[in-house]
Amino acid sequence: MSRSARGFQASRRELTWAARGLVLRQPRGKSADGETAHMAIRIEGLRKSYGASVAVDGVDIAVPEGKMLVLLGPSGCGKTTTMRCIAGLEQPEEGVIAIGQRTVFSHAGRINVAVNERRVGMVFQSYAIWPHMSVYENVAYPLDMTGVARAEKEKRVTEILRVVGLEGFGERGASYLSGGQMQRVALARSLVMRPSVLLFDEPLSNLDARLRDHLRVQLRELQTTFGITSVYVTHDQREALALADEIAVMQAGKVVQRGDPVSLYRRPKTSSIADFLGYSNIFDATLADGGANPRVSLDGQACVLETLDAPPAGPISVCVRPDDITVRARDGAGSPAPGMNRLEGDIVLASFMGPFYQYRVRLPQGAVWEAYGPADARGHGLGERVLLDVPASAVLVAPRT
Amino acid sequence: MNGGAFSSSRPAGLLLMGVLFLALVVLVAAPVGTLVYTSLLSGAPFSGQTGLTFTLDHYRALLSGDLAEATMNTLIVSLGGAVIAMAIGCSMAWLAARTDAPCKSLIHLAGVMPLFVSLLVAAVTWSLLGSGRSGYLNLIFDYIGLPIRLQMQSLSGITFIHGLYYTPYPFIFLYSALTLVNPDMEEAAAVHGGTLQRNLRRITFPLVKPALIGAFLLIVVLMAEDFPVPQILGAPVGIETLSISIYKLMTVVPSQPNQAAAVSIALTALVCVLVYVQRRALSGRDYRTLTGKGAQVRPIRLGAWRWPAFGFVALYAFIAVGLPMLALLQGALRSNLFIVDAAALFDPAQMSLKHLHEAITSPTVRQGLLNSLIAGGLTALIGSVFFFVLAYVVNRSTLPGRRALEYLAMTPIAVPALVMGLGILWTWVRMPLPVYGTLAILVIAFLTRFLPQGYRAVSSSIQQVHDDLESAAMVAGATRQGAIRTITLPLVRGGVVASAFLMIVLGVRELTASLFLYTTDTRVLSIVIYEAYVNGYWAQVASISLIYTVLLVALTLIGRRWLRAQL
Repeated sequence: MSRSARGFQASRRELTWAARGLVLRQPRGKSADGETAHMAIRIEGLRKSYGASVAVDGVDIAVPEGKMLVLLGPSGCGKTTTMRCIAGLEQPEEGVIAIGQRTVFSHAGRINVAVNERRVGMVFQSYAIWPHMSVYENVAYPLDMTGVARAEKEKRVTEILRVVGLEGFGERGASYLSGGQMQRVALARSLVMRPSVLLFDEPLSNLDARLRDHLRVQLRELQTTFGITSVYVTHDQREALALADEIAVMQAGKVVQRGDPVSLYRRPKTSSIADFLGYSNIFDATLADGGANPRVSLDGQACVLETLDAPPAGPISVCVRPDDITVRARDGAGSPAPGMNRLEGDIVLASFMGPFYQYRVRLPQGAVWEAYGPADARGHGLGERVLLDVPASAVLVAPRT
Repeated sequence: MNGGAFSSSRPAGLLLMGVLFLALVVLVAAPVGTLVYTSLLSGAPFSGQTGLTFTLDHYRALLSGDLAEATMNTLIVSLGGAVIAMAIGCSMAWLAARTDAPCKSLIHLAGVMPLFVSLLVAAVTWSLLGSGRSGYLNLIFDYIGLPIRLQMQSLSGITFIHGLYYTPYPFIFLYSALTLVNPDMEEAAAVHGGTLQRNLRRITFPLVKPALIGAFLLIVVLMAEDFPVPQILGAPVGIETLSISIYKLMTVVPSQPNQAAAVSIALTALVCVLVYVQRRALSGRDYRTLTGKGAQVRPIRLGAWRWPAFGFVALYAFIAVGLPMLALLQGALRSNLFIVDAAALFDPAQMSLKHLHEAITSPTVRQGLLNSLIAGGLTALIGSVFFFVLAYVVNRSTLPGRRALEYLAMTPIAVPALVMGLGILWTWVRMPLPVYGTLAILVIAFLTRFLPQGYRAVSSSIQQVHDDLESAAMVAGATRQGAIRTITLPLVRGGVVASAFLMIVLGVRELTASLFLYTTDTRVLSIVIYEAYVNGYWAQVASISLIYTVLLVALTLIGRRWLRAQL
């Protein structure tokens, strides 16, 4: 760890240097010819199936120049297939894919640019570091393919190794690297060719938690500094929220919601999206009062909650994030403020998580709620009866999916 | 992976597919098809005979008494041999994998060594050792007054030799299964209160059962189609198995090719059933393809049985390898063939290097040696390229028909060598190409015979190279060909070299398919031995066998590093 931390600091110094001296790609000026001209990646009506199962089912995506789009979804939702279609590793059945001004795939136009001519960079989940080559040879490979002169090649490889914090690792055999180092080699290898677009296929999922946090920050810094248009695939909502300019949530081959991280996190469109974004209290509900102050009743919990949402038609669910709930001791709590729902139950689990306490509270009717409490106070004990205060603004009412 | 409706590489891919199909059809489908065709015809199809009609007579003739006996004999020598081989091989595997028996590396060696003794040589030496009054062992038994007389030229003799020399398969199967069974599972069973016997029965045995069934059926198949052992130990005393029947039908005057073809189809059908059962038993759990860290298991203490256990292994190694080598030395070094009694066996006055010297300097032997090496070498060379392209297309392309390619490539597993040799003979005799009578037809036969092993070896090393490695190269700007050249090829080189080496060893060892295909100029070493045996030149047989064995052992030692992965 200490080794990679040093490497990281070295690379931060270089980062500013690199931002001045080594501009991977000149940012284009804003052109006036409409919205699509700024889109570095444009996908329309993308479809791909394997036999009878449809992997990607009519996906439309646009990524503005220099931004990072995260495709978020559970495994098998089609996010990786979408990315592999952009790279040219899979051939879709229908749709259009354009990178910059160039259409690389069009079913109608019978265009299919070969993968090796698309000039995109890609970081694989398995890193795909070639084990029979040194770090230098791995990183230099894309330059060898395009016939870059030797001196120029050496300069660029050395520079990029410095940027990712692998200075002096060039002669090392690629199979002798740690997971984090392989990750950096993979990153260097996709940056060295100065691609117009960078693709990340769950690049951090094989790393341990601490290294993952650390590299995530570095990745975001590199991406914003160089302003490389990126598509990033992950199933980790924390990673998605931290990295993205925009998130596209995918389910069953379709993009079900798009938005910037903040608005997406605050307003998931359906209960299953909410579930994926960390709303751990999701309960079936029915509308009790659809007036100016709508109220919903939780099925089987003998409990009615105030909300600010105008409930949608059809079956609904109530979704509440555990960090929006305040856990109180019963003694001296007073009566709740207006617009505050109050529930009562027994603590069945209390875990100290460091920054906060995680509680599970069972209500008299049997439903179990999750709530976080502050870490500075003395936590509530197992079996203690507590009050849960849920502000009406935190009660999200969404279509049940 | 890509290569869809309008990618530029599509036509090239289809062309490659066509070439591969053509090659496999010529190698595999044509010989088998010719056999089926011949078996249904009223006369020899390649003889210029006219007025041939289709008939089922040859199949009706299969039901006659002779063939029923041959089938019975085939089942006896293969099932009986398999039981013996399983008993010996599995005991040794268990000793090597799970106990504290001494000299583990020697047990290992004993377990795989017989794989590199040619069955032809084994059969020949055992007929020296144990047939009639002048068998070396019988002379010794007589001398020390034991009332035992071995008669190797019998059904039990054939069964015994099968059992003795097919032990490496059960050994390897069970050994790798035992080392791959996660010791956690056994420890978990022990934690939950199982006794050693109960755990062996309830946990270990079910886990290795697929390996046991797989090994058993594999050796039954190999023994059922075996030719040299029943030919040398059975044919002289009138014992026939199905392969001997085929050979006899082809070598009597006038030959009966149609009947031979029908018997061939019957034998192939028998083998197919066995292979099918084996596949079913092993489906999805072929332990040989797994390579894991040899899990470190706490060995079972044998206590007082440690050295007796080792003695058992040593005895096996002595009987399977030691005795035959001594017999070969004896046979090669004797100046006259007639042996009065056991004392004569050790009489230095009757020893000479004459026969050995003759064998080494004989132009026939030299030519045979050269032919063996050329045929084996060419097979390895052509095979490596061919198997790589084949395995690559099957594993890494989305071209239509690639699964069919794989089925075709695996077909020779179910076709006995003798049958394949016959099919290849009839296919090429009629071809306008000047292949018959050259070494090329032997190379073709070897390529066909070893196609399943070679393909599978290369295929599994390609599967070990992650798809992403090549994808990454193409994303980085390499063409498909470039990615194969710079990434995939260097990474599978080890596997390809190993399979090439296996081809050479198997090629040099091969006798059965060559029998119908050689001519005077294209005798390989195994054929030279066989001919000397047929002509009754015992000293020559022993001398050349000695040279042959030294060559095989040398090849094995040279290639041990690469072959290890194939075992």
